[in-house]
Amino acid sequence: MKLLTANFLTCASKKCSSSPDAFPLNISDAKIAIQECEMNPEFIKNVMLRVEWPALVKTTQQLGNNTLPMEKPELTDESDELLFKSLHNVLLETEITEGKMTCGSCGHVYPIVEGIPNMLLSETEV
Amino acid sequence: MKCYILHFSSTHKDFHLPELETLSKIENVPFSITERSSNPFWIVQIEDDESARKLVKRSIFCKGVYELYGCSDTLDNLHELLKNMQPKPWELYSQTTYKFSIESYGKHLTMEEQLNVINQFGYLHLNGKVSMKSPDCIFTVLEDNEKKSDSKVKAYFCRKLGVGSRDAIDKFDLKQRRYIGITSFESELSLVTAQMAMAGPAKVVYDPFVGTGSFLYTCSFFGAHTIGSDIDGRQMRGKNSVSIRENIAQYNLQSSFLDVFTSDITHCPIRESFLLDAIVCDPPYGVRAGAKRIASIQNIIKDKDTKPILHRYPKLEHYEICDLVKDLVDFAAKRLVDEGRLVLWLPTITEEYSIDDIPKHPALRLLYNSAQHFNHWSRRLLTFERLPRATVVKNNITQNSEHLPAHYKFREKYFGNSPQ
Repeated sequence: MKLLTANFLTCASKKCSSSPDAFPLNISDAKIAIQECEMNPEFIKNVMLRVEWPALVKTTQQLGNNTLPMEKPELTDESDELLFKSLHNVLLETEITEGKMTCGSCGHVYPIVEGIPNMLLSETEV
Repeated sequence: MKCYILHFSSTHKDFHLPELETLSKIENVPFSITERSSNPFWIVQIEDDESARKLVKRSIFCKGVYELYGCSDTLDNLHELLKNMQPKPWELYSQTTYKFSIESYGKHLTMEEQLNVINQFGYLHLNGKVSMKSPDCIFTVLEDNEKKSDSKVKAYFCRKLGVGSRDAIDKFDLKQRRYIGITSFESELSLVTAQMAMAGPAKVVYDPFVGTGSFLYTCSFFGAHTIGSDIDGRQMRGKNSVSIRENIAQYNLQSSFLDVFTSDITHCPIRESFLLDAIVCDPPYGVRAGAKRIASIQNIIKDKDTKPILHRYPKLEHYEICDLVKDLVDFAAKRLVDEGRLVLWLPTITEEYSIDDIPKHPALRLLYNSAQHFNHWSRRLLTFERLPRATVVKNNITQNSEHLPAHYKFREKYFGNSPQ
């Protein structure tokens, strides 16, 4: 699972939808892999508008990376390539292959197995 | 505006105009139709050659686009027309390398017959060198031999400008795909699904019933970044190292694939503020795979199944297609960007089909409804557009009709048992 995906997945329980603790899900026991792929600056620019930056910072910190700035970088056509590359690397090339995502509101644990998160609730939570 | 000819495939005619209009929007190339009969050749007006090439380059149904010089009811009359034409537009290319080709519809021409036709065009005075491999100019005779055709025009003389993307149909052929399942969607219409979603670079497209991923590949092929989910994780994961990821690698689409995850459309884990550019899906409607959702605990108790739930995979319950489609349009209305598209396949029984089977939502506008017909049922590709939020008044969200949309109990009808 890419970190971009971690930035749009939240707790599936409707009860948690209004809770500020439900997003981002807390990541633990994570195994990380870097999967290189081609960069598309237009996509980075476009998707950055939808990225919740503080949540991304929190997620990367939980994975032991403290390098992201607290403020969301503004992307323009003239922005330097290095910035695009680092965002591409964080959002699209960093993958969680195994791990857990825990809702800070209800405590549901969503497992990530072979890179695929299981976002199903149990019957009692529906 | 200039006159051009579009040569269409003979498959899925109901989808040709919706595709062309969608391409016109994607590429920002306006066109207007001068003549469109049942034959595969449409005469259209387009701004210039470059726009014409752009309009068809990603088309699945359009085989080629040509600048039209002349057309007539017979080949002989075409010759008369061209001989008397003033000025002669092809003379612009009379010094360039060229080749001459014949595309005959409804009849196969042998090499000898083709040469015979070509030799009749000697009066054109083409002085450039003939190059079969890389000509700068391809003069083409299009012939329509179909007897049923209601078009009076049977022969066209034109210059080929470009081709569509029909070769992608072979690329995504299921027979060549490493990982497929019983619900894998055929190549040509998978590509059209992606087309109708306006899948393209910098966009995010989501398939909430992803199965073995058929639409992810075609949407990513057009450059969109794709996400898929399914309530059944086994299909996405695959077996013995064949999986959706394996197919993504086969098609070399890693740079435009995001992720798949296990989830239930009625409890979607995508946060509401993350808007999608398009949603595409072929919902399971019970013929090859039934729709399921997580059973709510109340329903389980009603089922007298009160044993404590310890197993990790939740119990699922049957999910009627009309409920599913309603949930899906509600979901799309919330989650699509303005002018984003919802593209879904809906099965209908031919005899009973009525327009009420098409789901409605005040925030979604139905753009196209194209059918692929089978014996007693059809499947329809519905394309909706999310109306700009600024223009939609928030009221009467539900449809006030007695009729349950989307063929209540389709499965029973499909298998021939009339519903109770």
